[in-house]
Amino acid sequence: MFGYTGKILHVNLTDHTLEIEEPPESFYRDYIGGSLMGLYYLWKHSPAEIDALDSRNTLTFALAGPVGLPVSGQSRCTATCKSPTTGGVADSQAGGFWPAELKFAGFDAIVIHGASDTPVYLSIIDGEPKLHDAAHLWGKTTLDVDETLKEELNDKKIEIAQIGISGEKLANFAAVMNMSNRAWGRTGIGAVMGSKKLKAIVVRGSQKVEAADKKAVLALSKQGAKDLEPSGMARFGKYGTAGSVMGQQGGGGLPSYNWSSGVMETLEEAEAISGERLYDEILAGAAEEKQDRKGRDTCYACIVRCKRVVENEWRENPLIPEYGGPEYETIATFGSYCGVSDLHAVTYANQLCNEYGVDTISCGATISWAMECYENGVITKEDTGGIELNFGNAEAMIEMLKLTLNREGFGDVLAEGSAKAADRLGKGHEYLLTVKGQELPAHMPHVKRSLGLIYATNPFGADHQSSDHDPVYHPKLYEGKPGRPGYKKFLEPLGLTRPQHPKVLNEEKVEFALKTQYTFSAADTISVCQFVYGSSWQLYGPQDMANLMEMATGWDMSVDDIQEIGRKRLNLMRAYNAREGLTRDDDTLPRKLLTKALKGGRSDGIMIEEEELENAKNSYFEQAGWDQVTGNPTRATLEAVDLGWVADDLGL
Amino acid sequence: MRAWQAKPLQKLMQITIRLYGSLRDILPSENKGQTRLDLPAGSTVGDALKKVGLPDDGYYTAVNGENIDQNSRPLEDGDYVLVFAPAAGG
Repeated sequence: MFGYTGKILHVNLTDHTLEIEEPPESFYRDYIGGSLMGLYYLWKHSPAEIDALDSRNTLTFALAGPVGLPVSGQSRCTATCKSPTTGGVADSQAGGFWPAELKFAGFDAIVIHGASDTPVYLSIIDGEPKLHDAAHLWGKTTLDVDETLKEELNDKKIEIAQIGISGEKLANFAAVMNMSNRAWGRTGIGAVMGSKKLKAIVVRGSQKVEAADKKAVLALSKQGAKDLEPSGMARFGKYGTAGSVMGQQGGGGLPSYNWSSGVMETLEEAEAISGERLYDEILAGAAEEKQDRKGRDTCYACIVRCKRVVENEWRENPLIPEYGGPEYETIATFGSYCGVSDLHAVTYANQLCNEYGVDTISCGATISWAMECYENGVITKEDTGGIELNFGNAEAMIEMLKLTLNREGFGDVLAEGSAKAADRLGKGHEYLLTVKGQELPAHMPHVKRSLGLIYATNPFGADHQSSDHDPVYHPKLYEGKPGRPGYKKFLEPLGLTRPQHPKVLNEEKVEFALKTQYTFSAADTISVCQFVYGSSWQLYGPQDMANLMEMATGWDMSVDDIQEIGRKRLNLMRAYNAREGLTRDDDTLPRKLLTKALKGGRSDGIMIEEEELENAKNSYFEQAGWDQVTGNPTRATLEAVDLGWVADDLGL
Repeated sequence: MRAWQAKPLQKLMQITIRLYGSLRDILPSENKGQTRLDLPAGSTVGDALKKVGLPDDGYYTAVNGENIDQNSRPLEDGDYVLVFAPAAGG
């Protein structure tokens, strides 16, 4: 079998046993890897309706065929389990070097069962898995653990996935980190790993990934190098995702003041937290204009180099390069959501989150929720322990963040995430920005209307990386012009030929949402980066994704096959949520978005209309082949994606 | 002998344009995304975009702090034009 190692490691933490499964190729063809494979193990090994922190929650880290090949955008790994945040499926991807190194160490996936009584860490060195005591690592920050393990195992080249202190303390939005700056961030996977007392997974190996067609992989790699400049991806790499801050401000789509506005109050405040400012002033090497060499980092074999490396300080606190720099999402949640225009403070907040291991989206959004509660007198200084938690107060934001990360004082309440915090306090629900208990990411459905549909219906809560965004289907951007390549090239092969304005949510736009959701769903299964193979970020596109999968495995693979893989994963997620008791009623948007219009900027006066959303859901469920009343997959649809056994399990 | 006839001098105006995000790299890096442009009187926002080498539509633009929807809007001497690229995911 090409592309894969053919081995899956099962770790039972309850009795500290290890078992290696060697599934037949047919299993890999059916469940591919990444998210789809993780879902399979979750379904098969975890009973229905358990608590997410129950030891029987099965946590899988899974790769697919392309991971470890010498081409951009393939070092991705999906973690899957039941989510403590949503009560449905937890699913999150991370890049870096860890995913490729796991393949080199000899495994396609690690399936973690049970829970240990005492802290442990797992190492897999050249095909040899081993559990170790981790008492000495418990309570340490991520970089400290990185350094300790490299010294302990006498190898600076090991790659480490780990929970931070917030994962140990079961924070609702705890992440799993690698390199101390890459995160399996969303859906609370760090809390699940913490509940199992698994502190870290160390991987290192020298096994080569055998592609079915090595020459074709190298040709694809060369093509990427040639296209880097003309595709615009060189500039994306230069400013990273942070480069989109001003575009959001200009379009009225920069969520500000806990989503009361789509713009920062002044242009200067938005400029102060922009990707350009980050590049000019905070990236390592900025003082000598060597940011492109010193201030950018990458994932295994990727030429885009979009990750930020910072070197500066905030109020005498050093901004440490190893903790990386903020992505757009982090700049928004700790910046514009909180009304904070101090980019050094935002960068320090990012560092603290990486040091303790939390999702910067949910954590920042939880603090902005608390700020709106404070501004409106719902919580007071008595609640916050004297902290004046007003919008724009960077010192207060950092102080409250530290309390949250350590679960001290009011921070212990906020570590539950905003939805559970509101329940615990019995107030503040009107300011929540959560879907299925998870905080909204930083793209606004007011100006990207199909995103509202995906935020409402996505199985693991509101997510901005589960479908493409409306502007790419704008008639002007779809077609392109000299000097600006159009998105048609990548969208037409998906059957998307009816471009629409971003503020429209009609049947054509629902088709756009669903079909691009299949593509993104496939990327998370095939384990490739959406910024490199997605339908809008254009170093490669969906056809290249299909080609890469074929080059890696030798299996015939077309764009239609890619779409079917994505469709199958989406159906299995949705079916899992049905098994756990979620229904169409859970597919909605925060009341705030449905009842309050935005103020200021290009989105002034815009509110999401509930009727429009419900109509779109009807159309979406119909196009997906799901039941209109429950929103769950039907037997016919499950059978169409080779998941008849799931229909059997659900009693359909 | 034909009398020499002077061509009427073309009236010019000067505006400032600021390009955000990765658009700023269209200009030399020392400009940090901002430059002054000399344009014929009566030029539009779209003309200014073309002058810096961008397509004349498909961006969010603002003139003197006011968002505008039509890039056919005429400019005046001293105007300050902002150009933002729509953001996809990330």
